[in-house]
Amino acid sequence: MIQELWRILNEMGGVPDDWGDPHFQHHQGYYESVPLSTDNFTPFSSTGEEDKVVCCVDGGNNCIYRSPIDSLHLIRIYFNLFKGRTRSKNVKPLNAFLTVKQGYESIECRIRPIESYMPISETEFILNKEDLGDGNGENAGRIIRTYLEWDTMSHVVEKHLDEGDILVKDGVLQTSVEGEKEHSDRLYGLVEKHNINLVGVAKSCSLKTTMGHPLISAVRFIGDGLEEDLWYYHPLAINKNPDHKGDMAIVKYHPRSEYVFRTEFYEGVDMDKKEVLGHLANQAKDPLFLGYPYGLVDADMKARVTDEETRHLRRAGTDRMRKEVSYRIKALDAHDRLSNL
Amino acid sequence: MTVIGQIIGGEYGELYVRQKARKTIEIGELLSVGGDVILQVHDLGYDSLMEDDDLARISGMQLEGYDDTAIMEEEIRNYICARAKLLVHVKDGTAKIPKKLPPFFDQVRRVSEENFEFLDEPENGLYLGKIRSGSRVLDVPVYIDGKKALSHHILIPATTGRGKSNLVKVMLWNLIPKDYCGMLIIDPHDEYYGRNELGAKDHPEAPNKVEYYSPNPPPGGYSLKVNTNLLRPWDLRGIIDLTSAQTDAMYVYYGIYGEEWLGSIMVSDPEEAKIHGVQESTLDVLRRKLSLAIDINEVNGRVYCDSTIFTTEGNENMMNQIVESIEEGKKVILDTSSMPQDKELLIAGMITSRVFNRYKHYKEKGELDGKPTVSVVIEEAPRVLGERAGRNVFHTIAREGRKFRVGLIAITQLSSMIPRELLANMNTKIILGNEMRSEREAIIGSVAQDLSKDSKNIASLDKGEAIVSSIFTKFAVPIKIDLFDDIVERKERKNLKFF
Repeated sequence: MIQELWRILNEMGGVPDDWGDPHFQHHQGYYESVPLSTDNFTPFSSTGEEDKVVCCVDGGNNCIYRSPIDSLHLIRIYFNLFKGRTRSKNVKPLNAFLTVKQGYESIECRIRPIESYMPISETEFILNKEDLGDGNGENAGRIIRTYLEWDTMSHVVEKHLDEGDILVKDGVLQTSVEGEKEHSDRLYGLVEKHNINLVGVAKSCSLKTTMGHPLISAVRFIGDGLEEDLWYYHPLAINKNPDHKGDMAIVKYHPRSEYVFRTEFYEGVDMDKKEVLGHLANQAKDPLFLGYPYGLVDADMKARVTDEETRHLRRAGTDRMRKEVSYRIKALDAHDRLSNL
Repeated sequence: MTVIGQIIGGEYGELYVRQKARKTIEIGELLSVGGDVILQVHDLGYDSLMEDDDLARISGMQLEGYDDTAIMEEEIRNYICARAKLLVHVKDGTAKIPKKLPPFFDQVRRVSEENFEFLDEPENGLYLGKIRSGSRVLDVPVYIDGKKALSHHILIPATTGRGKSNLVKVMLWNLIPKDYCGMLIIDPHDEYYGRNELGAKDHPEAPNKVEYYSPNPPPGGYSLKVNTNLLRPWDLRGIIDLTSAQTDAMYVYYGIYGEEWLGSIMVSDPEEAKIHGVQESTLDVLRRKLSLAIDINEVNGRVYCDSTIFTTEGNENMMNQIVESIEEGKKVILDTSSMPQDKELLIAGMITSRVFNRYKHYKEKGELDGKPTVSVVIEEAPRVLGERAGRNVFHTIAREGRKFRVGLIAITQLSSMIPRELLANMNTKIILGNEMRSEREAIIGSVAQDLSKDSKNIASLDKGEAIVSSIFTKFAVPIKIDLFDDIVERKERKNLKFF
């Protein structure tokens, strides 16, 4: 079996004669692809300067209970503040419950904050069912979490960052659902006003080339042939997507890194890309995940809502649950019950 | 005091304290929690928030030259975890055995002198040293009730070079002016009097309080020569290996001739022996054994001693003089350095028996109350207290001496050779450093407080560092013993009354 596996893997490999060019399958009209070229690699250096604050933001959510008509989620948003490799301030995460009630065409979501670093009251959101697709209850948690991530970034810009500081979003600078834009636009306005360097770093990237190769691996393969230790590849495209404000690049943050990351620069602020990336590279020397900024590792770990945590909450809540709620949940949880046997 | 750590878990017997970055916690260190609880560290270890695989990978990267790596927030993710036990809870100015855990996540600080304000000098205080927290010495003197502790026996276990002799010198020095105890110090290394160095003789009250007996006494000392008439058959128990017939023979002659029994055996002819019911062969062997043990001989019907230790003439009063001095609260030092072991133990046993018997007599008469406690210092204690030593007066004292206010200060490198029952009877143990695990376990198994977690702590004790575990202390007290020479010099320099 193993030999067959090796054979298959070998057949999957091979360096193509032509990698193709960046290809934007969706929203094709919004992106003007820039052909792949070694000329687009720019070297940069890690900087140990501690003159700028680097703030990384991430969020997590998980479902505690779900029934065919409603669900209860826990959302957690976290940000950290580093100067160089030193944490400049300790911040407690924001924790909030989210109740999701499904109507005929819309979904009613209510945030119930538990503890928060920013003023946030019990808020109601109405989501359009079409935006949520299948499994809409689960998606509601993700969407509201995204809102809160944008809002947190706005809070951070107002309260914790100064001109020239760096704000790092986990993921790309693109909105995908209707209500999200309102939150992102608020941030963009603040970022421009305070002249903050906003970047997004995506852990994964599904972009391909016109020849069907993953864009990330094509760029990395070409970059491996260069002498530079640290580089960023830019531009990938001229972006005219109104919902996407990121100027896309692919970045290698550490000479020994096994990964390169899609990184986006907010286009509304004129930023020194080399300097900004130098600060992130300075954080990307941690051997735990060499080549990925530590602030994002930290934010990911602290924002995460684990299955274990929701299991604990589920057990704690079940004791005091009203019968009608319990019956609703049992309409969907037999599968989980079996999985636990 | 500044925060040096925080409680992050554990249970009653073992709390986990995370060491604050750039602070150091030592094994044996005392930590204050909430101002009223004191912990003691018994173990230290590395801990990390990272998985073992991650740590191995990081190490691999650093060792194999994956340059320009740096662990972010290393002080958060990697740390030292101290394992500590609850030592004492101070409530209303008195020390209590802790009954509850301090609050989870409480911050811990180094102890300071203020944490030990509950310690005071008991009546008849015997100074042992100063409170030690790890290797840091606090200006807090540690006393135990000398009168009680001495009669309940003190064990001083340690390997060579950890400061046993210094400790005994310090204790002796501090006890010299104390009238509440008399002491018999059997000194096989001739180190306590200070014939050629600083010692008990240098104490200002030594002329009236210290007596020194030696086969070769210096000016001011006494000759240690024992008249054979002072010997009794029971003094030889455990010293000479005798059959029951030989032992019976000694008692027969003692019954007939009283204090002349020894000489009578040496000159007795077979006919006389037969009359007393003793076989000729028994008499011959007994004579030979006594001759070897006591250097006693017979030529032409005349008994004489060819020995620097025993004599057949004079010194009849020496034994009484020693016993009386001890009874007056004096400290009597016997220089046994030039004696073979069997003779040393014979003489030590003879004197100890007489003191013990006298105190038993006082007890019977109801006259014990006014008498000072007697303490007998015996080195290499397993020689007299070990399984193989057989029954002897030291054994008896170890078992029942405290009823008669006679105690031992037993010094040994090999506590495991002393039966558990006797070890348990030694109610104060001044534990010095010991690398041998089996010895540490023997000590730990017989102490007044629970030291089950302190094996490494004991192993790490440096010279002069000790743990005092006693039924007369609320907790096992870590101490630093003063250097004897410093005490004497300080005394001379300041001319102050010492304790």
